Amino acid sequence: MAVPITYYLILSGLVFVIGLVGVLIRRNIIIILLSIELMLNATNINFVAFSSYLGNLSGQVFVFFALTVAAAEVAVGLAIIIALYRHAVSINVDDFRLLKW
Amino acid sequence: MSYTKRQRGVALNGLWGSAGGFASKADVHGDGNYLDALEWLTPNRSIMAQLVFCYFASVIVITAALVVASRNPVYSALSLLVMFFHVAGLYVTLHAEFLAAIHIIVYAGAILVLYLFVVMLLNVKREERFHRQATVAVLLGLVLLGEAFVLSLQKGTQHVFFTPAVQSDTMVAGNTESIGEVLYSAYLFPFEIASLILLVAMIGAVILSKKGLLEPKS
Repeated sequence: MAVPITYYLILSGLVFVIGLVGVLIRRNIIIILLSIELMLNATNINFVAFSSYLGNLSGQVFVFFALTVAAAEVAVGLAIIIALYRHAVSINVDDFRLLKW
Repeated sequence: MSYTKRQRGVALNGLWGSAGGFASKADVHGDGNYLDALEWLTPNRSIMAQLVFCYFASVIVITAALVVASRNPVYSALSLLVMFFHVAGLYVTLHAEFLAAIHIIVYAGAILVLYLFVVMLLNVKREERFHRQATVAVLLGLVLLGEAFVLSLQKGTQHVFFTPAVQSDTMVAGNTESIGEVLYSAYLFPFEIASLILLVAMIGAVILSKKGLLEPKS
């Protein structure tokens, strides 16, 4: 088990950046939510790596809470998507300009 | 000192203490023997662990890129599923077995099924793939990535080797028992807040997806 902690940081950074780019470039609102899941997973990898590395279980407990928040976010987000789709038959983020000035 | 007591103390410290205590917490054993643990590791085991990590990491990065790049949302969700399984494998190599199981159950079992359900419910065929700010986004991502690499490769950063400080104790106590001990003692209040968040999300999802809420009144 001699993997440097730097490797975990690089992996997590890569996944986070991929998620960030996905949020910014995609137009499908479902893919945007999936990219948010990617970013949450990147932080979770970081938490678990540091938790094992420092010998402190608090990191794993925080991953547990992040999982809870992710589940709540998915439930509410998908409900919002369904409501939006019912309102204007589209899941393209460019079609929702109601709050834009 | 037993493992759980030490963990509880550290967790309490982290919860109620300030960020200033971070440096002192880094050395859990208090005797600074990070590198001593490396001596009994043969090079073979080390290389094996790195190979396993490289497999998991490469699959995670490739499937994460596929999630963003693929045109069909079903393919995106399925590659996210593959990614979740490999993240769980990474957790197992980090001695977080309970989290690996929870990760598979919650993410692959619940969240992803919900995504697939919504994708197939909406059934949107035609879509333009990328936003018109795609170039700006890719540039921003490249800048962030370059920054991360510069930070991680700059001089003075020695490779701190991963030593499983909790390994022997956790084997005795069990990962699940240790997490339960910490979760129900030091993190009891956040645990209750989490249950409240789930309740609010449940009510919100029910109300939001009710018919006749967002339609114009006519």
